[in-house]
Amino acid sequence: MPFSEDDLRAALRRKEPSADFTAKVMARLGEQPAQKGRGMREMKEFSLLRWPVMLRWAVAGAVAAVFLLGLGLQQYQRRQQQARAEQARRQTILALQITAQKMDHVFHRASRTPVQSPANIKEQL
Amino acid sequence: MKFIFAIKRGRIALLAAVMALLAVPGYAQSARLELKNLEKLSSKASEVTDVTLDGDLLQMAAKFTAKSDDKDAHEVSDLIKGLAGIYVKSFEFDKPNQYTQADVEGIRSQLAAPGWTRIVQSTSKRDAETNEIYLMKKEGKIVGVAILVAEPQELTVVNIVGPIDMDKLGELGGKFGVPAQIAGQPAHNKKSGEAGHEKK
Repeated sequence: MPFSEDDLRAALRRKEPSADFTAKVMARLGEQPAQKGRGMREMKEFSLLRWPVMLRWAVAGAVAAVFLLGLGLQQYQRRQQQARAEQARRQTILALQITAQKMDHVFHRASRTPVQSPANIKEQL
Repeated sequence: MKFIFAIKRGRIALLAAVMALLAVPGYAQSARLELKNLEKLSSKASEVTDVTLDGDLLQMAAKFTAKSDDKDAHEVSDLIKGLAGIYVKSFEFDKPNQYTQADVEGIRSQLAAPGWTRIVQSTSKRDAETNEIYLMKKEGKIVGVAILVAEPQELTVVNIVGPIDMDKLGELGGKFGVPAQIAGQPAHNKKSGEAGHEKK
């Protein structure tokens, strides 16, 4: 948009402030500290120290309960895993017992037949 | 464009076919036996022992056993460390003819697959019993064991999957109730197990 030198001069011409300008500025300056103070007050109101004693105990109790529950759950899982491992160990021993017993049985039966002597079988193994 | 898609589709189909062909021998070579067909015998048996230990459980047992200070426990741990599974199904019956020949053949047919070798067989027509031990070997190492004991009042199948040291298994003799000597010695009295053991 083209503008002339006169436009520029008119735009930069000194203007007197309105009569209530000072009052407006002072009012704004007074407002800001008040808002800040309100924010601080709100923070203090929500601060843990300002909570009622009972509420503080309740929160502490809840935190402790969650912690203990987690600890208990961890212990329970560890015990469950140990129980599973112990059961697996017992089953393994049982399986090995049966395996050895049956091998013993088969070899014993085979040793009674003339074709397969235990020595031959051991060699095969 | 369609031509390029057709080529890509053709390649995918070829790749799938190759993978399937590779998978079939792998499956056939597995030492794991399918024992589900024996489950129906549980209702007829007076005593059932069913142990199913997959790789994860075995490794858990191996770790748990290894923590023990007992030397014997360490031997067990070493024995089972590399195993992929131990499966035992044992049925004892109050009277004979509670299982059929088809039940036994169902197991024996799986042991006729390539890879399995029967190392011991004893058949007694008088006692009507068959006892067999099979091994699966790969590159000279035992990767599977199967024991089949079929007697008039008992049917037992043991299947060990994974590399097992037969010497170490023999070394367990006399420990944890395992017979003192395997092969050539009279059979010991049966001891009832703990887990998975059910007496009716």
